[in-house]
Amino acid sequence: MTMATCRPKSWVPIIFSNGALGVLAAAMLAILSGVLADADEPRTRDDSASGAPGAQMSYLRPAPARPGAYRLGINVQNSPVGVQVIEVGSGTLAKSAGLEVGDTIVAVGGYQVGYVGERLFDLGDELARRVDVSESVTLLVRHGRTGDLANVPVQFASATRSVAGRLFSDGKARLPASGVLVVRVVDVTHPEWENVSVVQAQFPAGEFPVSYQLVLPTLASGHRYAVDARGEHGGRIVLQTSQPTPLAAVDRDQQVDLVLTAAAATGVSSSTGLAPVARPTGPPAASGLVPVAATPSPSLQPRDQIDQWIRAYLGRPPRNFETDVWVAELMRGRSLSSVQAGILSSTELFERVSRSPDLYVAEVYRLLTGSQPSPAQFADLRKRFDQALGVRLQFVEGLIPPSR
Amino acid sequence: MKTNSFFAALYLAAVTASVILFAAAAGVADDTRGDDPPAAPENPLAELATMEYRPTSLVKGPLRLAGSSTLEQGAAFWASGFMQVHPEATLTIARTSTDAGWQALVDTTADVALLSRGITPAEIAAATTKLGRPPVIIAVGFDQLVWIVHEKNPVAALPWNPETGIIPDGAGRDPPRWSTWTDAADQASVPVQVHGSEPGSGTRRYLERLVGGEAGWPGPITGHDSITAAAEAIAADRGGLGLVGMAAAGRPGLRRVPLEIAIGVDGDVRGSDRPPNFRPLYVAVVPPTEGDWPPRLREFVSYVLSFPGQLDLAKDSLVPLSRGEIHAQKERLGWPIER
Repeated sequence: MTMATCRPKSWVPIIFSNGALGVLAAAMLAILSGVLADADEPRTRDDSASGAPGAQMSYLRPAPARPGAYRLGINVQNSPVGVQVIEVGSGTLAKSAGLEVGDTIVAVGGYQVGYVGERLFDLGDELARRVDVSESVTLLVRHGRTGDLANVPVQFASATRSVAGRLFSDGKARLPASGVLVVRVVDVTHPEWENVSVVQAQFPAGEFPVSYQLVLPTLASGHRYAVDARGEHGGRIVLQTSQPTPLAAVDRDQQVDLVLTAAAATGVSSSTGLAPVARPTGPPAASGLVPVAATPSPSLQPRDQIDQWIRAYLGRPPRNFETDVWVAELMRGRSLSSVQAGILSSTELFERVSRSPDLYVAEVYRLLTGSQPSPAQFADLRKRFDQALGVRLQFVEGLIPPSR
Repeated sequence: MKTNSFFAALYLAAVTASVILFAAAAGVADDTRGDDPPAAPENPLAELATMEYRPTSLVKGPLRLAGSSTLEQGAAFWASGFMQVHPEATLTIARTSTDAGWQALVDTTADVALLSRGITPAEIAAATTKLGRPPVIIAVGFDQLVWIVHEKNPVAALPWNPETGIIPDGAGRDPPRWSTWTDAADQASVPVQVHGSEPGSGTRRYLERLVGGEAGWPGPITGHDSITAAAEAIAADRGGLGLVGMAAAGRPGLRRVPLEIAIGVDGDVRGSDRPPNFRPLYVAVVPPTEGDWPPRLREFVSYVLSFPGQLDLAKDSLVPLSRGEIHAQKERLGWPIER
């Protein structure tokens, strides 16, 4: 076993030799480091997700912390022996760290990257998981020209950008203690994209003002971005900012304070995704022979209403996370009636009637109205189904009045 | 004293080396890094929540989807979600079957084929000849399936490996395999009767492959209009066996049976090590031979491989991809990986 040669200043020499033995030794080191790191560092850091320490996710809790925020500035290709560098950008962290085309990143913070068995451990995800509190991490790199292995420390602290600030209440707005605050950066390049979130984090409800911080991923040049916030409880948006606040720039840290008001008072249309969840009211969307009474119970929270629909339409209790999936949908700007249409058009319900369009349209009618369709109504339903080209979601959406 | 210290140090070094070697060997043998548990995260969508769909441009125009009925509802959600961000795009969905969807892609009457089984090398070769370039097939999610038998069938588990499958043909096979439940459990000479969906569907082909292994299942399979109908038939058939979704498996008269996987599985999906009861679902597209992708096709695939696209599948009780699986599909598409 020979000593590895020392790379430039940023490279820390390690004791393994070139060749296959070196690879095995590196793998051993990586595995052992992983085991030890696992013991030393339980996954609590993952809980902070894409936000500041203390951030919590109530509906969906992302695993890697701040993915996309830590970039080396390289193009890569995954392989069973690591992540191969195929391009290094000029003026990047990778360049200053001494990475070169042809190098292979074997491990990040002691954890192997690339294909390990059948699974892919992505370099970007691993960087996000393994950076320490000072935003630095050590890469284990096999040099492409010499085959030497070396530890390469990388310091990201000056390379990340964030948006931070405080969330205020307008004085009247309240959020129950079990609610959550969501802050997000949205792409507002086109009006149609007002609900396209690029990064978001959730924070527990608390006394206003509440501090927040979002670490920004790399954002597209030429796009415009803004930040907004809302408070959620029971699957309903109860507080929100009146409109997104534009970000002046994305290449430097920014301070943006936001004021939340009661959602019902803002009058923002449901298409923004920031409106309170509306209940279907008014006449059916399509005129014809089919009267549909699909009004959800006003006394139910959206989450409870979804539970009730799953039980009533699918004849079983909700499965693990099933309600969470639909609540996540609501929080992304969809209406409660679209959730109802989604459940009624499910493959499960279609399967229950043996994939028979005739039985299906009659069953949907029965579930919505509590009675069987008359022959004329059945014919109308069948016509609508065919007009929707058999796409059940479209068929059911035509029966349920849209939320306001 | 010095000698004792020397031996103590030597002993400590030996123990340390053993621990290192043991840990390394265990890790290498398991093909894992020794850190992350192999099981899926608690909520499969949780780790995807930060993989937002980030459009690069506003696109418009038609996009034609065709294929598997398993993916039909997911595709309807995709269309709805995609058109919210790109209102001038028009997505149409032709619900046919995997076979027909693939054919539509090859005939260029569809832009995206929805597939509920893997495409064979022969099918890819034929398509490549016709199109002048190979279609690219990527996984988009999974359908979690369970094996079911009649409730009075006492079989405890179904031994399985990818070569031989689980079901015997009874003659001339090595290793020998069974053709009646007698061989697997105390059920007197009841013939195994496999129930599935109709031929032509990806669901049926996947069943045939798992049941019969590489050689395929030589015996008859009773076809049904739906998986629910197949499940009902098994509930009425003492020798019945089928592979169904979670909803159908909960019907009365049925019992779920686990697979006993004899050897490691060479996964169908790049970047994935899921067991075979997770049936991969795919889309196929025909990327350009050179130059950039058509923007609306690229945006659509990007949407499918994002959190909202995966949430759409979960809304129809399908299983989303993991982060690693998504990254691997993007790599398969030849998209640059910038890190």
